[in-house]
Amino acid sequence: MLNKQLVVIGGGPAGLAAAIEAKKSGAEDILLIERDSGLGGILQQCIHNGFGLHVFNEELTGPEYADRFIEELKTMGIETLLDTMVIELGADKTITAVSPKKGLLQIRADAVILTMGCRERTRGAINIPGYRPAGIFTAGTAQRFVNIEGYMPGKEVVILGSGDIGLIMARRFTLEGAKVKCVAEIMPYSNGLTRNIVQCLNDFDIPLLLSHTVTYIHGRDRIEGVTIAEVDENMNPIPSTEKFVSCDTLLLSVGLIPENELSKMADIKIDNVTGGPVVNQRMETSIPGIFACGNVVHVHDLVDFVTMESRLAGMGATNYLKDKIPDKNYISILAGDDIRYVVPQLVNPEKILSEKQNFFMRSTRPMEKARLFIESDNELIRARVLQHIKPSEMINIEIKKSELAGKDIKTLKFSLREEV
Amino acid sequence: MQSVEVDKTVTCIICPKGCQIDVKLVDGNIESIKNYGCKRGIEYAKNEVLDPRRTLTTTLKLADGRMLPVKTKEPIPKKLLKRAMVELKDVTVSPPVKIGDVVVSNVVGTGIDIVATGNAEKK
Amino acid sequence: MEDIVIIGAGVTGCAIARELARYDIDITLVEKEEDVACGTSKANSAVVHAGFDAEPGTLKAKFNVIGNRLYPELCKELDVPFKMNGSLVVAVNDEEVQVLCELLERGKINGVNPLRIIGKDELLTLEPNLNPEAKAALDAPTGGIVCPYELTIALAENASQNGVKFWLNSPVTDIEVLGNHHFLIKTPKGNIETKYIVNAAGLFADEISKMAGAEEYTITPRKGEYLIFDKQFGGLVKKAVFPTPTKISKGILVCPTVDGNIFIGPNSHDIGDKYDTSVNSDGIKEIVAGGKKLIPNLPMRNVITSFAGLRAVSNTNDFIIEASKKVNGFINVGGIQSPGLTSAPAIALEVKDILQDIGLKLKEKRDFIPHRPKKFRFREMDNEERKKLIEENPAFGHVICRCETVTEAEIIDAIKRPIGAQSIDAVKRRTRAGMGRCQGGFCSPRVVEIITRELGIDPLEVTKKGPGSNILIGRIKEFLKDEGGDQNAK
Repeated sequence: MLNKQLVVIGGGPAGLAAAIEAKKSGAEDILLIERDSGLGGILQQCIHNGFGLHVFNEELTGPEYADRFIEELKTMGIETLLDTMVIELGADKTITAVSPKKGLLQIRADAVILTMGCRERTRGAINIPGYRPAGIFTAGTAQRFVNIEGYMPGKEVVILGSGDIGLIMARRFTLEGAKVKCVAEIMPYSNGLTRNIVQCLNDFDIPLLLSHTVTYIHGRDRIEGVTIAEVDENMNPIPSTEKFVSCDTLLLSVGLIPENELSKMADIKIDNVTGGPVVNQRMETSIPGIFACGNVVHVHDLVDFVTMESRLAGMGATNYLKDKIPDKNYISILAGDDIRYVVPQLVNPEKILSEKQNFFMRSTRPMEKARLFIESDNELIRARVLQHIKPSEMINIEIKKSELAGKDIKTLKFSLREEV
Repeated sequence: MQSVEVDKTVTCIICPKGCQIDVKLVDGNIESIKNYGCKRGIEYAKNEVLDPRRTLTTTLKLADGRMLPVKTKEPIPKKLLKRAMVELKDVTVSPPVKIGDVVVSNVVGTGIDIVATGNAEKK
Repeated sequence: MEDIVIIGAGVTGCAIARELARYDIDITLVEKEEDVACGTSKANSAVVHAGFDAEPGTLKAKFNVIGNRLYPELCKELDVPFKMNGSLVVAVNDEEVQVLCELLERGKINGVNPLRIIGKDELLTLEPNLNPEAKAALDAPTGGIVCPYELTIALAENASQNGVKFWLNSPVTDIEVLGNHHFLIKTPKGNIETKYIVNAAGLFADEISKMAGAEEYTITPRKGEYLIFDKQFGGLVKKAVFPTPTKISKGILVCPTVDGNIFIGPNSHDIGDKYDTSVNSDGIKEIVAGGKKLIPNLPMRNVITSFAGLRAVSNTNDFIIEASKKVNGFINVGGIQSPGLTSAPAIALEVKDILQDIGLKLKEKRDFIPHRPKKFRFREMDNEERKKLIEENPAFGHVICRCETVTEAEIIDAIKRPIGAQSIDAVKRRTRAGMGRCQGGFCSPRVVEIITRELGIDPLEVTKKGPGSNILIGRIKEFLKDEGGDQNAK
């Protein structure tokens, strides 16, 4: 049994930032465990740019962004295990991991930070009827084949889902000489950044079919085409609008799901809306000393926010290691009207780590203009006008520690009211 | 000689508002810009219409079979993206390579280099 | 010249092959798909039926009950996952309770024991998630569940170890009767001369029989669609929970798989196309409605995949297991629909008897190997075993499929074993890599890499399930042509 002060599970942007911050704030004995053969997580295959506008004031590609942290991690001498998969996590912070070189490792940690990221929603999970041929990929898996392995999954592509991953891959495939026939999106609005609609679809004249979905997959051995249909207000396909579109590849960009198998193994409390652990103001889960940050807590759209959140978790873990006193006396953070969820879900205002606390949230629907209400126990703290609100673009609200501490508040609610 | 009038609508990407900016060109010169939300939008729309540029991010083959992520050091004309991809298709890069290393100079005659955005050690 | 050619490598054909492999005879099994268990045997309810459902006096009833009794020993011998978890047939009204009484009678005649009807209280204690309207149930403790494709693969591996030759990707295109007990079988891979033919060709058994000039019957494909739920909900039911049956089908079940998932299905529709394994939205609606009748709170947000299987239904409505009277040496084993999986070991013994009856001399081998090569299931081991295993073979320390905890060593083994995997789906059936909640999203690039390395092929040659189902279409940059400027025009 190996003893470690702090173990970080995952070496993507969340794990890297958390480990570095933990070391900076005083943790000495840190081990970062990563299942891939290199660090950087999903950023390794995100070769497009758009990362780092907030954190570095530069526009970087995924690998470049990751490299900043990987270099810093190396410089700080933080111990890393690569090619190592954590297969068990106990509520008592015991970790079982396996690797070809080191065999089976059992580690007892004083604190753990979970940064396992997320997985992609599959064809099976959304029940697209039809056959089960080759040629159906989730966008991330296709991205791995193209950018890391160097292979083209197909030549004639239909994409379902207008999330950023699907849009990015529409451009990637087109640049590499494939034909992307269309992007179908079941909602009446796109899920991706406007910048990506322009630079990934408009630039290449790829049609975006809003309020459309794939209703059938044709082809027994390799996909031969899909049936695309328009959907009504209840997102049910309208049979008279069905059209066959031939293709040899179907890319699915239909959602990301936080990967919490290990968290569930340890009986960590999971938020049903986010799919990730319930966390407090220092990103600590329901088990004192086990922290979580990044996509494993809630799906992010900007890696810059992942970094911010993960630095908080790193600080939180070091903070915990100092006195190991579990947090309590929480304010419950509530998602009010038209807010889908808020992270963190619990805040101990006395223990907010800096002068302010970030609250990350998402709206339930697009709104051009709305007033965001921040209320404590039915008293209005603040209201703010927000513009161009989209569920796919996370909202970040800062509240000063002084607004919450020493006030005996029980609940803090965020809600939106649309304004015309 | 007859005047050539072209109307273009540009979706601005500077901020999440996504203003649909209308630009009127006469004989290739900008005559008017309408429906912008702010100053930055005017500048963006002007550039998008007269000289749209994009940063190209792609991968190149390494000598050992692996892939190397790369980008144009600066944005290149949008209409040259495809030609750039074709020019780069048979390039092989020999490791070691560091982020920022120039791996191809002056892609499609733009004067702009292709730089590595990932590291590759000698295997 | 072969003694026997078996046509069809489903569970029936492979069970027959393995049984006959005990004897000193030359056997070849020809299969049209790229792997064994590619037809009905990989897409069914996986239930080892107790035997109360089959009509007394039929071959179905006879072989169901004999087969059921053979399962525990066979699965133990071949290291195939099997659980005798019991079956329940649930009645929600008085009419249905009547049917339960009929099934009880039928079961007794067929020799099913123990078998009894239980009341509401006991039923809801056994299965707390059941529809509270349930009135009673037929409780059949000898019902079980098995992994049907793993059983088929295990039978095939063991048959191969004991000398049976397997021709995959070899559809039979013609059968020439050269004389008494003398046939020429033609396949694209070559021709085989043989004395006896065992026709276990499943959906195509009628066509094979016709090809040989033997008895004519028709096989109608009857489609059954299924939905599988995440293992997280594996405790939803403990037994195979059936509704009261109809004339043509046992109905839409809610049932555990031996690997810990839950499934609902199958529905039952006769179709015209023997290759139509598509799942349709009406079918999904139908099985969800059927499932909810039994278990109202189905975790619909946690479906991981759907699939369809085709039952090979003969126009006689019973198994056709007999030596042809028209063509000497040709044995039909057709119409093997439910309870075909359960019956397979019993059918194998029957076919052996039939062969002896029509003149085949069977001498037992002295060196018959009853076990197949050891199977390692990393996910089922304790940490002590795992530690030792990785020390001996580091490839056990490389987890490839995160969802099902499948290691590289297991995938390599799946490829290198007898009747080794040659495709993504074949690896999946042998290891479960790709069967988890991410459905291969994480592991498939890695599995492609392992297959190319172990088989010494190009990544572009890796298929999902045989010829025509290649995973990748080209190498990067390959589609870029020297065009002027614009992106590829049509």
